[in-house]
Amino acid sequence: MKALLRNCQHGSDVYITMDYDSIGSPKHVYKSSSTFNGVQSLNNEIRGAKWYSSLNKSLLDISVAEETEFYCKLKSTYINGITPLYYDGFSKNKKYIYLIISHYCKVWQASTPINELYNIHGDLSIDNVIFNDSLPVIIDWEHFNEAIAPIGFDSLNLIFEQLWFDDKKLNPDTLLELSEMLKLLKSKNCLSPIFWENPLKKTIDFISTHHNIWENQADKLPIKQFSDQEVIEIDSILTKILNLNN
Amino acid sequence: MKKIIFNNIEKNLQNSGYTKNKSGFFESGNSGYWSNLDKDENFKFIELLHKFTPLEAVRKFIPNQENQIFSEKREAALELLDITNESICIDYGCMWGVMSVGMAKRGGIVIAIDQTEESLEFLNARKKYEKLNSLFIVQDDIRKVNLKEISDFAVVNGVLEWVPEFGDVELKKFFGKKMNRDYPTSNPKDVQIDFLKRVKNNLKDGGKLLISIENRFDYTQFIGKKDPHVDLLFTSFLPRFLSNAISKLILKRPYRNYIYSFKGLKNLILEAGYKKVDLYMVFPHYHMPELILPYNSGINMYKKYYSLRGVSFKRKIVWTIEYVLMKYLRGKFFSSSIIAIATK
Repeated sequence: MKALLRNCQHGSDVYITMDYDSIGSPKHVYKSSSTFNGVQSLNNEIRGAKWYSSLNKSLLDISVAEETEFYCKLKSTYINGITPLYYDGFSKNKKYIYLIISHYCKVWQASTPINELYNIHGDLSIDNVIFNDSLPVIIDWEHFNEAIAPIGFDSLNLIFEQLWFDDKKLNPDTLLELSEMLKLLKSKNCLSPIFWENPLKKTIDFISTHHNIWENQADKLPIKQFSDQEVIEIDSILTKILNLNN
Repeated sequence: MKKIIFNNIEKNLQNSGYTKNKSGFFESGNSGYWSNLDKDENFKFIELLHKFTPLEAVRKFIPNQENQIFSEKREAALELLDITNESICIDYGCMWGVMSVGMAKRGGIVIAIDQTEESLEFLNARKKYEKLNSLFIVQDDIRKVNLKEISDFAVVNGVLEWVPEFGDVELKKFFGKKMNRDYPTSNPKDVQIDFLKRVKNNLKDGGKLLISIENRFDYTQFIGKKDPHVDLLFTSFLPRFLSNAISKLILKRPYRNYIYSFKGLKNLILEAGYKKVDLYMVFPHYHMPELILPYNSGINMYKKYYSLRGVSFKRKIVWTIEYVLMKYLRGKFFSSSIIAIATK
């Protein structure tokens, strides 16, 4: 038996289905599309997943199951684990965010930049990570792009997404905790100096100037929902903390 | 290989009595009319296809139908079938062809059948414009198609409930409107079973049939939504004799658009001689499904698939009822639509 779990949601052109064994346990996850944009996304997905797997022994195992001139279907083995709820926000999810950041550093440090530009996942949201025995596996590589952003972009996107969903996003304690994460990234050389000043604005600016990566989904990203005033307030605190040690 | 199959199908169609017309589609001599558009409207719409692309013509003439005709969300149920390159598929009652195009894009060699010439002309224009060369377009009464054991897959999408309807249907003049006309004395259920048997005969052994249809006990019918085929209150779930009496009283015609519960649909399909039936719940409706879950084991996978932001108060109430009904009360029997996959 199969189930359709997502039908071209959030501006995407991709279907997500799963199949199950005779006792109802999930076996495989399929992503497919019959539109030009959707097929392009799935091509990105397979390139991204292969790149990720080449740098990190992960459970992610994706292959092309069907391909025609107008259609593509990818198949991956179901990964058992938990996915934190994105709407719980930064404070409730910080344990998971730390684990993802450590994982990010491990993977991206092993990669080779071109002119200081690194590959990006492009949608490193907390619900695109599965924790298998507390080991993060990054899934959903549809927005993968090669050698396009300074190191740290995906982690910042994740952290600020979670901040946006937090009830206390401007609380000093929350921002202090967040800055600890940025310092961790910095200490591991996984935060480009470009992001040391006004990291939130710089991350938003990157998305705005690379609209083609996200197309009609760009303006729906949580990070783009911060008001100008919130961006200024958050950045002023983070910039100060990040540059204290310099 | 695909070319050989292609030639065989063409030969098979000709041997079954179809003749190729100058537009390139196959005719049986059987025709009829079922369309959301009136005949006059359809004539004007088809005229536009001489000047514009199919998408432009839709946007100019019936913009509110664009999603129904072109949206890839409509074809999502096809993901339940394993259509591969060289699969032979029949779309019964294809209308404007959203499922036929979906199957062709997945690599299938598709026989798209409908009685309405205007709908087929639109599909033919789309076929040419999008270079969907593996699409055969056939005009016939779907109750009479005889293509013995030709297909791997069959799709009956929103069609089974219309099979017992005889005579032309211009939907706007039919839906909830009085219409006194003659019907055969046959029971609608028997007509549906005969049709399903014919579909089965056209499937290869092990071939699969996908049926999409509204649930007779769709929860929305109990909170004020009218019967989706005749626009009357309660007729979908009342005993048939009562629905028939109401329809005769208000619409001056018998109630014939039978839809079924999960169990009822399964029994109907088994009665037509299929070996196995898998049932699925569909939310919010099979037209634009967001979730398709196995009926037996899938209710625990039900999840919120919508945002309540910016929707009407009425819609919020309906979705909240659905959420409580499915998530907490496990009321799968009341899901809005059903998909059945039957195996010959």
